[in-house]
Amino acid sequence: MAHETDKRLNPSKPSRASGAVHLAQKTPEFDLLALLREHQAEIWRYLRYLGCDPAAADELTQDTFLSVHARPFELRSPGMTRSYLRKVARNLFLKQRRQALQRPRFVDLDEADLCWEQTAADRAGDEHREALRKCMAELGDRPREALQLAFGEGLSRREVAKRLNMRDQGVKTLLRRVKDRLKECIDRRLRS
Amino acid sequence: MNEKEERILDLSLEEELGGAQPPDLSDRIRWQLAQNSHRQGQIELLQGAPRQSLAAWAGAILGAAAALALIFFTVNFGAGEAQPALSFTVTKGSLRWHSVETSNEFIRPNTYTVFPLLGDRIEARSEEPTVLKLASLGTLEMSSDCALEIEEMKFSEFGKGFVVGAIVVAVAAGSAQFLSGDYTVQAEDGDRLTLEQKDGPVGGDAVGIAGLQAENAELRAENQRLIETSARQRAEGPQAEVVESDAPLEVGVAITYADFSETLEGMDWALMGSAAKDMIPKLQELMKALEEGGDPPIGLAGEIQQLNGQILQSLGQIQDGQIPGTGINGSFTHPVFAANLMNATLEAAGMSLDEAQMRTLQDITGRFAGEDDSRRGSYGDDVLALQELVEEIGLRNRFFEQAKANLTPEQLAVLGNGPDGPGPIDLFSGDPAWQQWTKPVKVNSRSDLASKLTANMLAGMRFDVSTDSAQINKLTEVINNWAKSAPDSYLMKTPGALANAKAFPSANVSAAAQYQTQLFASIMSQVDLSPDQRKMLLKNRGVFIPLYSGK
Repeated sequence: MAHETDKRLNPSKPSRASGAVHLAQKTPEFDLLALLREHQAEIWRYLRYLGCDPAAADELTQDTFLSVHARPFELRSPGMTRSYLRKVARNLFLKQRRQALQRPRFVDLDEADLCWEQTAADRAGDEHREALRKCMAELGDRPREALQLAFGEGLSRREVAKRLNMRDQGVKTLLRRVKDRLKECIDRRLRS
Repeated sequence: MNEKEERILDLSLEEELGGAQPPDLSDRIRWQLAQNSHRQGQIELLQGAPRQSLAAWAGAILGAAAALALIFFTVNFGAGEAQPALSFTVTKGSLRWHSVETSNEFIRPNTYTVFPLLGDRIEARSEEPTVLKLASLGTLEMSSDCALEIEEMKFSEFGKGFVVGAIVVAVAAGSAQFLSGDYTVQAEDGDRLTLEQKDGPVGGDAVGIAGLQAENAELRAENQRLIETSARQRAEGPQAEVVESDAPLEVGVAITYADFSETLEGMDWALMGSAAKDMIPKLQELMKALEEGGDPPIGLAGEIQQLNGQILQSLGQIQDGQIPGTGINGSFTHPVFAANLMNATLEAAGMSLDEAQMRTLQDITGRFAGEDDSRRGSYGDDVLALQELVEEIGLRNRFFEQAKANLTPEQLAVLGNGPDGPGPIDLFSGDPAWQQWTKPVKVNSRSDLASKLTANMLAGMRFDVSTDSAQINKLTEVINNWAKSAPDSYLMKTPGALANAKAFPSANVSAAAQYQTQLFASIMSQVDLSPDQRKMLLKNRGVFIPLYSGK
C-alpha cells in the first residue's frame, strides 16, 4: 500500500546523469513566490490546454508548485525553468488522468508541448492574446457576435444558431471560418 | 489550423471574451504549504490517501498491486496513451518506487504493474541485493544501497497499445547489473544503464508476447479478409444476400439512439465483439486464480490487456462526450453502448439475437437511455455526485438485468453469466462503472474505520487543525456515530488478491456507496463547512470500502 512520503534518495548526491535541469538540493536563490508570480499563469493555461477544466487547472497548478517546492531545482534560464515547470505539470496531469481513468486530450504530449512552446509560451502567451485582441477588432459584427455567444457566454452551437437565427451547420461553418481568419491574422501580426 | 493550435485559440477566446482568466493562486499555495508543515506529525494520513483531494480516494492505490485492476477496463493500456504499464516480479529483496507524489513498497515474491514516469526513483530496500524480473526486458540486480532514476523510456507497440520497450536509468547510488539473454552489463554510481531486451528471448514472457503478437496479426488479417469477403458478397447483389447468413460477419450498429449514430458507426463492432467474447473466459480464469489466492499469471494478464485494448479502441469517440456517463466506464456501461457490445459479442460467438430478441433489446435500451437522459437532467447543484453515481450505476444494473433476461442460457454463458451467475467481475453489469471509484482500506474495528475515515476527510477537506477545532470535533462525532451504526454487511471480508483487483461484489459496493451518501448528508447538515469544503464533498465520488480484518 502506498505511503505519502517525500523521502529523497541521497539528497546530498543528486543524479549526475540527469539532463540540463536536474533535481538538486534547495539552493539559496530558489524563491517560490517569485517563481509563482512569473509562471503560474502560464502553467494554469498550459493545463487548460492539455484538457483540464478551470477547477482542475487550479488544483494541478497548485500541486505543480508544491511539488517543485518539495524538490527544488536549479534556476538556469527562464526558458528552461518554464520547460521544467511544464514537465512537472504534465506529469501531474497524466497521473490525475490515470487515476480518473481518462485519456489525455492529446496522445502525443511531447508534440503538444512543442506546439505550446511555439505558439503560446511567449511571456505566458501575452503577445498571442494581444494579437488576438487586435484581430478581433477587425471582424465584422456577425462573426464577433457568434464568437461572443460561443466563447463569451459559453453557449452550445445549437443555442448560438437559435440566437443568430441560423442553422447549426451554418454556425459551425461561420465559427470555423472566423477562427481560421483569426489564426491567420495572429500569425501575421506575430511574424511582423 | 491543427487541433492543438485550435485549442490554444479557443482558450484565448474564452479568456478574452468569457473572462476565464488564470487565477492568482499565490495565497492558496502559501496557505497549503503552511498547512502541510503544520499537519506533519499531527494527523496520520490514511495509507495511500492522496495528499490533496478527497475526490481522488479511488485513485490512490493504483500504483501498486491494485494496478492489476487496470488491466480490465482502464484506458492506460491499449488506447494509445503514452504511459504504458511495466510489469515486474521481485524475486529477491524489496524496493521502494517513488513517483511524482506517491511512494510504494514492492517486495518478494510478488508481481506488480506500475506506470513509470520520467524522474521516478527506484531504491533498493533490503540488506541483500534486490532482483527484479522485468517483463519482456530482462533481469535487474540492485545492490543493497542502489538507487536509480528513470531518465528515458522507449515504447514498443503491442497489439493496439504500447508497452515499455526500454528504460534508461541513471544510477544515483550503489551499483546495478542488468541481464538479458546472454547480455550482461554493470553500472556504478553516476553511470547510465539501459534496460532493454537484447538478442534471444527473456524467459516465457517474451515468448508469450511474441506469440500473442503473431496471433494478433493473424487474427487481424483473418478479420480483414472476412470483412472484404462480406462486402464483396453484398456488392454482388441478391444472390449474395441469400448466402449472407453463412457468410462471415461484418457486425454493425444494432441499436442507436438520439445523436449517437455517428459515434457508434465510427466504432469497429466486429473487433470489439470478438475481443469481448475472447476476453470474458480469460477474465474469469484470472479472477478465479485471484480468488483462490494465487498470483495473477502475467501471460494471461497480458492477453486480457491486449483484448481490452481492442475494446478500448473506441475510446476516442466515446471521450468526445458523445456517450454520456460518469468516467470512461460510465460511458462504456451506457445502455446504448452496452447493448451494441452485447450484440457484437453474441454475433462473434455465433449466437446472434433473433428478431424478437433484437426488438426486445431495442425497446429496453431505448427505455433506459431515455430514463438516463431524464436522470441526468434532474440534478440540482446541491446533489451529491456520489448519489448521482449510485443512481447512474443502479440504472445500468437494472438495464443489464432486463437485457440479460432476454437471452438464452447459452447466450448468457457467452457473456460470462453461467448457471451460477456472473464471476467476480461481470463485463455486462455496472461492475466496471464502480471499479474506478472504489477505495479499499483495511480496518480492524469500527473505531479504526472512524479514525481512518476522519483522518482522510480532515486532510482531504483541508481543515486547519489549529483553528477549526469546533468543526473537527463535530466532524469526528458525526463519523463516529455513523461508523458505530454501520451494518455488519458494510464491513466487507474480501480475499486480499481480489481486493487488490478491486473485485468487490457490485451489490456490496452499491450498498457501501449508498451508506456513504448518508454520512456525507449528515456532514453537510451538521458540520459548519466552508463553501470550498461543501463543494469538495458534493463532488466526491470515492467509495470507501472497509476491508474488515477483525473477528
